[in-house]
Amino acid sequence: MSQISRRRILTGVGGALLGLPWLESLHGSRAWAQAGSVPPYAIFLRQANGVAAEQDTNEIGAEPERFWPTETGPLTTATLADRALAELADHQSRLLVVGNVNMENFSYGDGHARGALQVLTAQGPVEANRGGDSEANGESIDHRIGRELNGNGNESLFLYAGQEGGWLGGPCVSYRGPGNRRSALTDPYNAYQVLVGGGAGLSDNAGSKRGQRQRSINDLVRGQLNELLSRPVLSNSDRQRLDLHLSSVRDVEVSLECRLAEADERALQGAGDGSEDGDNVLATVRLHMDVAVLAVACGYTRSVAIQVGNGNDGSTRYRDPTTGVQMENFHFVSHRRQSHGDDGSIIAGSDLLHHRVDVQFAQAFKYLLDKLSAYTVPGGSLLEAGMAIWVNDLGNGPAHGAGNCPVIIGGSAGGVLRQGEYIRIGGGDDSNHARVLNTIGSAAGLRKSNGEPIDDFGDSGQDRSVVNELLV
Amino acid sequence: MLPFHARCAEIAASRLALGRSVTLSAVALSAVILSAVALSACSGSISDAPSSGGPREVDTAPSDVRPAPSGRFSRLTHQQWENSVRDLLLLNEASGLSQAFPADARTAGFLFDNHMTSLETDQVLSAAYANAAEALAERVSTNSAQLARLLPPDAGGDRERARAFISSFGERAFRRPLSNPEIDNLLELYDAGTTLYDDQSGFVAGIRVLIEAFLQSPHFLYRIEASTERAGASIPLGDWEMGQRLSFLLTNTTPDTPLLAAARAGQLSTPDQVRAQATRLLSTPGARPAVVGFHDQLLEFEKYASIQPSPSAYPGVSDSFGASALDSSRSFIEELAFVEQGTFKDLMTSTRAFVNRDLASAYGVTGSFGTNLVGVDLPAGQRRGILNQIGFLAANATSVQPDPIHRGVFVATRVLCRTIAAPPDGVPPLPPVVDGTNREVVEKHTESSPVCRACHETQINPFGFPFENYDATGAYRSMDNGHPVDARTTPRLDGAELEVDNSLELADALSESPEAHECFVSHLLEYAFGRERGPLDEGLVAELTQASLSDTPIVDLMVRIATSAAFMTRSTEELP
Repeated sequence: MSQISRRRILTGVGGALLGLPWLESLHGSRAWAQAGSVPPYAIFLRQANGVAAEQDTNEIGAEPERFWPTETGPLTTATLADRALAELADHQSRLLVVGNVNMENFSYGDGHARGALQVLTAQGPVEANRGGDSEANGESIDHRIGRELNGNGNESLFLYAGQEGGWLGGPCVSYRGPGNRRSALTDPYNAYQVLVGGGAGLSDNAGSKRGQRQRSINDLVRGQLNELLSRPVLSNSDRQRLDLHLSSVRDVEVSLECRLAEADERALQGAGDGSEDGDNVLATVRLHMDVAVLAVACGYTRSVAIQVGNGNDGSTRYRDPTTGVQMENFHFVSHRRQSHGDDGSIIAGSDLLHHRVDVQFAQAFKYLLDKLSAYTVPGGSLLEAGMAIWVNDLGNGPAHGAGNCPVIIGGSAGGVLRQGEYIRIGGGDDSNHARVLNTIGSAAGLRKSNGEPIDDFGDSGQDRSVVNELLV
Repeated sequence: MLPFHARCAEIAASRLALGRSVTLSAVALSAVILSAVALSACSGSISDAPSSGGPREVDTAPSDVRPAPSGRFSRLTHQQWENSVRDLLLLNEASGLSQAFPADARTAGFLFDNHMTSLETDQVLSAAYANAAEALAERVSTNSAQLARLLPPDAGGDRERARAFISSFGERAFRRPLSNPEIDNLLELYDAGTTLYDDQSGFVAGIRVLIEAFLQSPHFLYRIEASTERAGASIPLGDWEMGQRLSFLLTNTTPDTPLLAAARAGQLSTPDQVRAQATRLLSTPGARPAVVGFHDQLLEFEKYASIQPSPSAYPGVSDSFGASALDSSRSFIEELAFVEQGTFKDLMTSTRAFVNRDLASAYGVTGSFGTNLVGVDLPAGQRRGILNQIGFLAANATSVQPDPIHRGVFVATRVLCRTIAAPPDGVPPLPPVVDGTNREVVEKHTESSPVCRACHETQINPFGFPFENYDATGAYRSMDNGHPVDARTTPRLDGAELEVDNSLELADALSESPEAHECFVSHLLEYAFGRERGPLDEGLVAELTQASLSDTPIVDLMVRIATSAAFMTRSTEELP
């Protein structure tokens, strides 16, 4: 494997130039080395509660298809018409709509736990049938991409929008390892501060001084942590936590190159307050996307996960755009009932409301694609260099189906993934979700020691081979 | 498509969200109770800092006491960080800067925010600590009066004064004296810092950088227990270590000046000494939010703020109904614990409540009420204990109907520490309440199938139906959908079936139940130690259960924990 260090120049929105220090990795087989001049990345957007797909429900009856394209093959205006995905028509040539992605029916004891904790991990629970007390039994793909590929010691970013707490404790899709769930950043401005080394709002000189101070303090703190780690009586548990802390004390330079304009910095402030108003939640999602795009553009990380809503997004009340009125919380809508369970009265027209939530997620995803497309890099746009991936924990709402869970990918990871198509991957009803995550991880640049694409991510009992149907 | 039907699963999953899933064995109350007061003298030392007067004498840790293994590094919770920073920097109020911290990941099945081995410091939190430290140091160093409160007298030049500051402030920040090498390292940072803020004098700039460093130090961010010297079957904690355990248990913040003085004087070695400090701490203002905070997490008060009864079904309910229910419950706990010296029995049976104009109607009390909460005595024939208050009842309801399933699951899991298995797949939806009562609908739905009946008939519904006398706002009712309410059930408590007519009788039964008392003290123990209850805790649980059954006030139970051998010592074994 060879590495070439070079400086990248990206053209951002408004023509601003960003000078970007990047380490480009060129490795792997020829088929996987098509990545262009920018290393591939992955930005995940997680939606809960399934989508308004064709189904029969006890509450509504026969619900028409409102999400998936009308047929497999090339994406066209016609195949996307009247579907939630029509919102992405501007990017249809850079989309890969993946259908028939089936998660494993692991024994979580709850559909939302099974979906949310598996969606990026492809793992079962640490302990079976714990329902809302479940934890995933392994690392998530976003974290692994960051851990293996960032090359700068940074962890991947994990961003969250929605109510604090709630089902599954709120942020729940990103894991360091078995049972080791990550905390999430909820405030886009705080996330941005992490990116720029706390330098938001500082002049160049002040930023430089801050860097000096923090280096001095970090030296002291590292010395203290190393002394603590040298003590002979530490348990593995203590040692792991101190090791994580030590590796987290970073001399992050105040990155002036990646600083946003002052007005844009201000625009990031004041969001991420745990609001249950869908408009506020989606506004926070868009700000998180701004940060995510900056993070991959500046080489801070090659992986970001954005989670919207808690385990069942059980508190966010999205707005019906046709009336301007807030719906019941999304979980109720997905159940088609005024209830988190089986009771409660039926919500009239809730299948259509669910579709309108899907549309708003599609619009948010389009915002991300727009942002990534607006950055030009040698050989194309930033979008083409990597992947924006919209995933859902479930296939549908009322049945909490583990089958046909949406995976919508924007960008080809530098020419690795097929584009402009709707592909239903094979395997019948069998679980193939782990295969998809191994494919995404490989497209992002993960490799086995022999340079081949990974086939070791997720539960070892699952088929983890790459899905060749998705490759160019 | 893979078959999976989650309706029933979700109901039960909601149940599990309300409670922990740890099976607790019944306490053998006839068992020999371990003495909290140690019998044999022993010695120990800590390597981080010496106790005054050399190796200390400890009269705890009898030879047969084996505290459970625990971590040596317990990171401050975000609330503890807020409180500690406030007290360390002598601020008038908490800074609120922890709002910018990433929320700690939830620990599956653990009710409290202080799970020792789960609290980590990742890159994002480390950066957030740095940002907060910078903001706090700026705030303090640019306020001369504030800074003067932290600085020692000027008695020999800036550098000597900085050294004195490192020693005095450092002892409070690290909750122990600093070693000479530590002081030298920090003095070196001070020297470097004197040039790192252009707009401040060299001395103030150096102090400012020191404050930043103290607040990012692992010795501040973690409660560290370094003692290694065995005495019998355990390792006695040093005085400084004991001080921080005690302080964070009872006030959820860093040790105050008297407690530091006691540690410095080697006066936290015996149960009597610890008891004296614990009693004193419980009289300080910081104890109230700490003790309320324990109940807050145990009883899920945070859910109360989201109570939103249907405006069409309950048109008189105000927008601030949930917030008032939350404040009311917190006020109830504070009065119960600190004014009434209340017991677990009182928690279950007290007829006191705090009422304002939002809650008065649902409580059925008359009089003139404003926005402020006022303590009242509710009719004993309608209300008894925290479970018959509006917060619990309305939080465990749909927007229209009371929810006996969630109410029952809460009692079973949180009050009785029972485990309820996840339900099977494929349960049909609950039919609407058209005719008959809410209970009849739920009963038919949950007890008609053998599979669902296995849990609902004996483990859930008997603890939920007694509350059918309260609607979705928690208001008392005797009729439901035109039919008399039937709240009679036969729950199984302490191994025997018990007939109760309603939730008042259920509350009475719980107040006398060894199983319920054991569950409550187990929660106290888990909170105190920041870990799950384990087999080695059985002796202490038995003792505390007996004490609780004997009407020991809740705060006194906490003192008993603080003075127990398990709390004053460490295990000789480390965690895996």
